[in-house]
Amino acid sequence: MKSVNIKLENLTKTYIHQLKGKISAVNGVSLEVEPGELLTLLGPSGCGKTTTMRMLAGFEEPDSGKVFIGSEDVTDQMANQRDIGFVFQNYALFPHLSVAENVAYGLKVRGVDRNEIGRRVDEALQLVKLEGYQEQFPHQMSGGEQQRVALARAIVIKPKVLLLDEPLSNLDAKLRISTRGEIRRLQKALSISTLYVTHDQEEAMAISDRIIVMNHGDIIQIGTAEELYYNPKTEFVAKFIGAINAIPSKIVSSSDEEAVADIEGEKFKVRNFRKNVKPGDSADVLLRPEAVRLKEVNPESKIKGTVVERAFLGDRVDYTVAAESFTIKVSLYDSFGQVTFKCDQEVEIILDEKRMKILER
Amino acid sequence: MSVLTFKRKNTDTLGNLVKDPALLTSVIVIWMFLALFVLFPIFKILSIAFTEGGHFELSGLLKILGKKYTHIAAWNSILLGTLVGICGTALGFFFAFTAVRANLSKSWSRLLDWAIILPLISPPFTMAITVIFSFGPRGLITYNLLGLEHFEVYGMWSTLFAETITYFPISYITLKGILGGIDPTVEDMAFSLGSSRWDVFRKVTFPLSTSGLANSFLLLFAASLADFATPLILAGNGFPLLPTEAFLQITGLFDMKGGAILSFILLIPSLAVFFLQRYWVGRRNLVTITGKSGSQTKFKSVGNKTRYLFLFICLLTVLFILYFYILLLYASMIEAFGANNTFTLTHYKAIFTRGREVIKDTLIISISGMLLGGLYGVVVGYITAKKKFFSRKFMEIVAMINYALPGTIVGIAYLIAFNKRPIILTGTALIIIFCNVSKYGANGIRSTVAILQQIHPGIEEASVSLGASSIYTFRRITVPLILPGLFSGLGIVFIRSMTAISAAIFLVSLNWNLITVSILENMTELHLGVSAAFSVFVVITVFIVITGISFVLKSLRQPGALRITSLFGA
Repeated sequence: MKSVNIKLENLTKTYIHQLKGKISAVNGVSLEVEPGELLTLLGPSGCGKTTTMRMLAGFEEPDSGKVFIGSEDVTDQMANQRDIGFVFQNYALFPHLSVAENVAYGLKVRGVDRNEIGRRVDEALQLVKLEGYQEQFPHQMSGGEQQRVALARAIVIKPKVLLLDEPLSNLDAKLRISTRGEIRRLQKALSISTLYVTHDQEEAMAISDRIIVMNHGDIIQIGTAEELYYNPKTEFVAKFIGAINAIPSKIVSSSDEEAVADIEGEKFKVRNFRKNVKPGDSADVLLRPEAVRLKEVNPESKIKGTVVERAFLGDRVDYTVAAESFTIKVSLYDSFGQVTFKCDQEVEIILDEKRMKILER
Repeated sequence: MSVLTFKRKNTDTLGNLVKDPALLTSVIVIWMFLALFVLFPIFKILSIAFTEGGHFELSGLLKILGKKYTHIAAWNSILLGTLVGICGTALGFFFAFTAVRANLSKSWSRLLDWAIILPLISPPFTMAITVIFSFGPRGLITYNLLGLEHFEVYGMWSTLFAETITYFPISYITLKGILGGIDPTVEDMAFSLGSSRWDVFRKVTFPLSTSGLANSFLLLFAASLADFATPLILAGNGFPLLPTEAFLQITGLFDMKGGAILSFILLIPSLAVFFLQRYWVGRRNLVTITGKSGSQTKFKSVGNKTRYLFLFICLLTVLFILYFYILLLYASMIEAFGANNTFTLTHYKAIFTRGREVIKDTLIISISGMLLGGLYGVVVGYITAKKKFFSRKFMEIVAMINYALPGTIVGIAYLIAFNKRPIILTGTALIIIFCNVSKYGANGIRSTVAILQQIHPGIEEASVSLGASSIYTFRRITVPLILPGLFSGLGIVFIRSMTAISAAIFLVSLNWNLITVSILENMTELHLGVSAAFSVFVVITVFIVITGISFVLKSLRQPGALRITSLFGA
């Protein structure tokens, strides 16, 4: 089947909350999923990502805006007419039906003939590596297995669109990683245009072609994982994607793209993306933990601090170091070759000037 | 997101009805039923109370309101309701606490459950009859055992006693749910912080169950307010109550207006309690049932000595209840209670010969009511809980009105509404069946809603996302999952149709009579043996049906399907 694109145009949704009154859950969101692409909506809970997906599925009616699947305007169609496969956060397997009956459900609805159903159910179960589970019931299976049944049930109908709503959030950490790999492999093999919702940035980075970061019902930034990580547009995106340090500084001078920031008496030339930064202003300079290095103190050391926390993580060691006016997180990789530092040890903090930036809040 | 998605229900629009023809049809049919069998009778009873010759006129109402007798009856009703609420809740809490906290073995707690269910499945005045057998002028305890002559059993205390024993099981079921829902680790936590058992009870367990206690009090208050049969037999002339006065006004004095006005007075506290229970207590439940069964900790809140003491008291009460039922059986098998104690089966012969028609009528009415009422409960429960449509909230309330109103009011309202054109139903079986469906079908609505709340909305959305229509989803997904609700609804309508009297007594006729009414007639004609035999018949029939339904419920429990814990689940 040919992959189609999905387009949301200016979707808006408000709710009436009993205590808080009118809440705007989604404010004019527009986006496009390319044919065969896996696009992820990422954001903290309450950011509007699930509501956006539910409007695409047809479970929620938008207050305004349009939904297109392929070239067809489906805004006024019911969910059962949209030809979607939906994987729910809690799987929503039918508890009274066996695995085979669960997977066959959508095919029966479509009036597929019985032999064909049997063949396609087996094929789908094979795809999710659940051969031989046909007669089991959902409650007899582990969370990971249930998750795969939900996936098989969604893809067996060969939908135009696959929607996954936090599908991994009920699995343990290891299973999450292996299952997201499987989802990605399947999605690519079937080349289904897919919208994926999660609040887990690592999951989003691992699985997506592109990611949309949302907050308070708005789209903040769209891009690949690399673009979001290396070139976040706002402090919110920088802090949400990966870990980042916000180091307090005083602005000494500023131009359109550059600023000189004073951190503990040291001057740094940093890239500046914030408008209206004037000399004398306070601003947080952002720097990833892997762009900081530590050294043993020596008489030339400029910025000094004390190690207050140390966590050995195998591939790297994470430190928290307290300097005079700020606390900073530092990740040091290649733990075989590195000098390691102890708690309470005094160290020199070396900040990578090239990777420092000031962003819009 | 859960908070937001939960609010989806707020969009009840006309548009949803137009889009979904199946929903539109069901909504129209249900509204026609509700308009005809709930709103119309209530309207008629109000118009009779407030008009005179077609004009708005308050003189009749004011006249009756001004009577001292009315004041006494109203005051007595409220006093009795309050006392029954307090005593029944106390007894119910005691039983529930023992059942949930005393680490009973399975067989013991099953015995407790079954003994307590007896009063719930008996004709409402079974307890009243046996109280007279025990404490009446010729009573087994007062006359035979204690040798008291002319013991005055009639009055408030005996009525209170009989109603407390009859209704405390409601409290037991309510509170058992609440106490059972408290996570034992919460109590463990309090112990670990150094509290004594008494402290844990006083500061943790009891405060967590206060909303349940309030709920139980209101339920019992309403039950007592509505009870008509017990006071009719036990209250006597010295302790008039509103429902009995309304009944006597109509059947004794043929004063329809007076009866309507008295039942209108009764309507006010009944509705007040209903809304209080629904909108205040119902929302203040502190116990959340998470469905997590992770904590396998044992309850430690009851010490060994206390445990045996509690068990002893519960057993004593259970034995007392069983004693009443054995007495009933005994009375049905002797010539004349208190006078001639020779064994005989003539009473049973009588009910199966002279009483055969009544039994047949009762079974026909109960079974048809059960089928209709079960369906009604599931459909109304489903669409009010799951669908969004214009008038949904209003439907939810209207469907509960007859359930909330005392049977006396509903009976009188039906009597007034359906004995004249345009709709004449007086003298038919239909009037009784519709009355039972509209009143007791509401139980099915409640159990369906309770089950639906346990089904995650995602399950139905999953079906829709796979391309299924709403009818297909209902048939293949929802119905199998709410079958337990259907059967429990069926069961309740059957039981109530077999046992209730307060509404039906106004609706029986020469053509269609009911066992409960016959029991009362035989009581007043002092054919106590026949009354007892009829009562035993009802208890056994209902018992068989309940066991059958429990069996069906058990076998219906497909893998993963939801359970309904009690047929009477509050």
